Formats: sequence, C-alpha cells, structure tokens
Amino acid sequence: MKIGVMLLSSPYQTEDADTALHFVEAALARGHEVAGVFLFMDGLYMLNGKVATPGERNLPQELAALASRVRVVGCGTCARFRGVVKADLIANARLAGLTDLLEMLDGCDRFVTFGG
Amino acid sequence: MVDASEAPRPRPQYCLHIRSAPYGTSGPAEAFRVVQAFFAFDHAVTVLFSDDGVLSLVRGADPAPIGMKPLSEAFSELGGLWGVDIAVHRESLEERGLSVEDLVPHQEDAPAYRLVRTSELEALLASHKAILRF
Repeated sequence: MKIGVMLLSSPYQTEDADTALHFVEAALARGHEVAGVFLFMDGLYMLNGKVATPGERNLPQELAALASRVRVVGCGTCARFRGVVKADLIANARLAGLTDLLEMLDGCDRFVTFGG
Repeated sequence: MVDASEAPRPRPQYCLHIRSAPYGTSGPAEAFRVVQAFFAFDHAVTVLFSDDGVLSLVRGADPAPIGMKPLSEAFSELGGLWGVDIAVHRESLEERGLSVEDLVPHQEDAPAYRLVRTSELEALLASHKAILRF
C-alpha cells in the first residue's frame, strides 16, 4: 500500500511528530511504500536542522534519516512565515508549494494527518 | 480550470475537515489555502466544518482589531466554486447556539450549505479517498 503523511504540529509541543515518525518507520518495516511526508503549518519546524536537543531525542534529525528513503517536503509559505530558510533544512528535505501536497495525495492509497 | 457552467459537479475524492476555531489557530486559514489549491488544479473537494470549526462561517465576525482578515466571507465564496462542496455539522451548530441563519450567506446561485447530522458523518467521511484535518 502507498501511504502519505502530513504533520501539522511542531515537535516537542505535542506527541504528534513522534507518532508520525513512528508511523512512517512502522509502515516501511511492514513493506508499505511511503509516498511522502508533507510538513505543513508548525509541522514545518521538523525541517529545521538547527534544532539542538542535548540529551534528548532530535526529531528533525530522525526525520532526516528517513528522508534518504522517503520524500520529505515542507510548505514553502509556512517556512517563510516561520523564518526557516533553505540553508536551515535537514538533509534530503526540500521546500515546495501545495501542488506537491496534491501530487502526494493523488499518488497514495491512504493519507494520514497528524496534529490536525 | 473548469467552467462551472459547463461541467457537472464531480464526486469529491478529498475532504478537508475543519474542526478548530478561526483565529485561535492558523488551521482554518491554511485549510482555505489548500481549498484554493484544489480548485486551481481541478480537484473536487468537500469542506466539512464541525466542532469549533463552524465558527469560521459565522456572519459578522470582524477580526480586524487583532490584525487578521475575516475568514467567513472567504469561506462563503467557496460554495460557488466548481468542485467545492461545503458541509456543516448540524449538532456542532446547535451545541453553540447557532443555526444556519447565523452563517454567512452563500454567493448568489451557489448551493446552500449541506447540513450533516452526526449519524451521517461516518458515511460522509468514508466516501472520500483522504481526509485532511485542520
């Protein structure tokens, strides 16, 4: 099955980002294809490679590790509203428009929203 | 884009479910952006308002004093767009002391709000390929 994921909330404020990561890892482990992860609204903060979490789990870097196998895309407008620029992004991630979200939706069998 | 006068309304594959209050979070405003993108690319969509999300449609809301733009007028215009179906959860309105008369009127010639009861929500949501919650 082809699965798409969207995250709307920021890491650390709630458990949504953790759950989204675990969901993607579990889907891949079960042999499903993950069509992509779209970071929207405050979910965009998951693309900030400057996040530092001494002694704690670094969720953006966990996402970066997944991004070598899964398409990871953030909303470019959301990034501008939050002062996140391309140079800040985690490895293998990119910023795009809502057309990428539509393509992701069209290309998957199931789509799951976290943080909505 | 498809001319509304030439094409029948298709059955939407996607549902945007707006549950959060306007202005309290950016959810409804971002959902509005997504609806515009769906429309621009000829994707039919259902926009379902429930819980505090129904407050996005209340007429007379003026968020100018807090530096924000009114969402209700923007949402009222969506119902007239090709492929955009607006549904409102009836019980969410009633729980907040509201009725459809309290909502912003649709544009002329646009279909009326589709009021959906709790007992109908499951079937409505299940009829879509994907649901995006805001």
